Amino acid sequence: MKKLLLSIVTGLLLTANTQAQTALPILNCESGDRKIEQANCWGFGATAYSNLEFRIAGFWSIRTNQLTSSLTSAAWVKTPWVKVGSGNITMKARLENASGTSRGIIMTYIPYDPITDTIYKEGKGTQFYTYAFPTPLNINVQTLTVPIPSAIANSSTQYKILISFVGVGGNSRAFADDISIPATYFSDPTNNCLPLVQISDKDGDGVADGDDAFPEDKEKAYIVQIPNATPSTLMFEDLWPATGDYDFNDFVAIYQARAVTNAENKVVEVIITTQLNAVGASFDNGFAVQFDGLNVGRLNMVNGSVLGSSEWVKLNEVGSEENQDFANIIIFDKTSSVLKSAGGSGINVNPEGPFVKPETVEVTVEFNTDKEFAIEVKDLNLNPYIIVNGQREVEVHLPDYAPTNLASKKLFGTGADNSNPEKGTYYKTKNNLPFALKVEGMLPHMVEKQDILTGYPKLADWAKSEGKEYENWYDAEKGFRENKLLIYLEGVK
Amino acid sequence: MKKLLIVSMFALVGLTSCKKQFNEHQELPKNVSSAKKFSEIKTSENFDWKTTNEVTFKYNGIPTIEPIKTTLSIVSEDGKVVLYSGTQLMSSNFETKLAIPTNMKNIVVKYGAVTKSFSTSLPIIAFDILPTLVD
Repeated sequence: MKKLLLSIVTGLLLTANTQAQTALPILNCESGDRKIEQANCWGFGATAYSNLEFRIAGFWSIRTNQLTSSLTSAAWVKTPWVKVGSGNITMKARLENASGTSRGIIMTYIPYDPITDTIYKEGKGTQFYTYAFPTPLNINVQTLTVPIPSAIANSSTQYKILISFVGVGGNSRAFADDISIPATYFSDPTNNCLPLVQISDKDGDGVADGDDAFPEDKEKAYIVQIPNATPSTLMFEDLWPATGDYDFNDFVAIYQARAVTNAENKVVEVIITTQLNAVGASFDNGFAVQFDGLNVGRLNMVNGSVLGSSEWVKLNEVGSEENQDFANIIIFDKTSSVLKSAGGSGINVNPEGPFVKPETVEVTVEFNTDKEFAIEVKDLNLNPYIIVNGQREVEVHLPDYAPTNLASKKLFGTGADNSNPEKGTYYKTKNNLPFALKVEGMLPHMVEKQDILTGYPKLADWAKSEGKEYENWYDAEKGFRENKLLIYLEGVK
Repeated sequence: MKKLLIVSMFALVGLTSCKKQFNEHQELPKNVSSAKKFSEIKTSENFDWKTTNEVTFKYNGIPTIEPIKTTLSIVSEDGKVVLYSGTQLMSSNFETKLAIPTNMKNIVVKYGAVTKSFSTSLPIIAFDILPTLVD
């Protein structure tokens, strides 16, 4: 029982980055780029990788700057944090020329000091080996074999080994190669190369509690914004294929979709949040989202749809719409199922009111995470649309988003619509004008019958410049909005 | 001669006036929209009406002494919008598309303790955890 408890506790503590105990590899410089070793927590001071003719083994060796200092901090190579074993440190070294009075190599071990006020938490070093190149100086390759000091051999604490290159007189540099230290790697490259620490992971999913949005649920780890579904304002005109008054307030909703993923980055569920803000229409429109390219087999269950008594709603056993090639989620069947009019025409589109508190519908789509069905966030392409006044075959989508296969294709090219399925262009007029807009942020919408350009004058410049000018035309900057023609509900800005 | 001088002066004033009007039509101030109604806007069919920019994000993995993985996240500068978050093996490459709101000028990429800020003006953002060398 005691053993079982111990193993459970061990399971709850995640060694940082799930590292195993690995022997420190020989530093042979053959990556050719010391930045790679630095990213793995090796340190270099006044030393670089060189493939000049004086290299010692392979194609690359360490080359120091000119050695004109006896300080151990002048030119050096330093290991990551390691747990030192026993045996010998070995390395090869040579000088680039014979110019100088003396040249040497000094080795120092550095203990971990968690309370020192430095980034790398290095304590005071202890020199344990000094080597002097034979004099008169020459360029022969020397092999150094250095016993691990008993003070640090097989220690359970972490050390770094500092190898310094020193010299007096002349201008000779040193080369070094094949540095081999019997030790276990114990650095964390993702944490400023500090020693590995045990990090709490309550659910044991491999994601540290600090990064885990669901630290006590091993099936879930992250909440990720789905591309093109960041919090934004959807604004529809609902007379398609005819154009309307371009107040873009027939249907106004704040919309966003987020994915919950697990530790393997597979989508566990998608949460679609829709806050219905305004209805400037006599039509009672439905709202739905198609997962372009994803068939229903990927889904486990849909929860949270608000469905009244609309006859056109036909769902399959998982709660998505029947007879669709791609998964379609009905968020609500009609606006009146969500927002009740407080009287007058439209809802929340008249500046004098009365106003109705916006309602939020949150739909959760659970996904199958079995290996053969699992998807990632990059597979999610959401396509929100309205279903006009209970006519299932009449859909209005954002520009160039394809209709579902329940939409009537006969309406394309009629009225003001200039859709061309062969070219992949949908829901735009001959002048490339859309019937719906999706704008980043939670924006105020237009007063009834007011052209959107009167409320957002820079929209015209943005569109005419094809997005090059005033790309933040919707922001609350001076001159960007005509506030008396906009309706600010709670939460919009 | 006196009449000729007067006629010439009027002609010069007239020309100057015409020139001024011409310039006003040619160089509308940048902040004045010429379209007053949405229906008057004309754009090319390539314009997609999106208020997001598509950016390709690349994580360039580097060889590691042993397998190391931690959380890679991409967030807005104020940290409120999480554009991406997931487990990332330090040695593996990773690429994803981001739809970045046009009013989001910078994003922050975090991998463990490594944090770097990037401008969103470029179509490709490449991130690695290689250090900047200082000799």
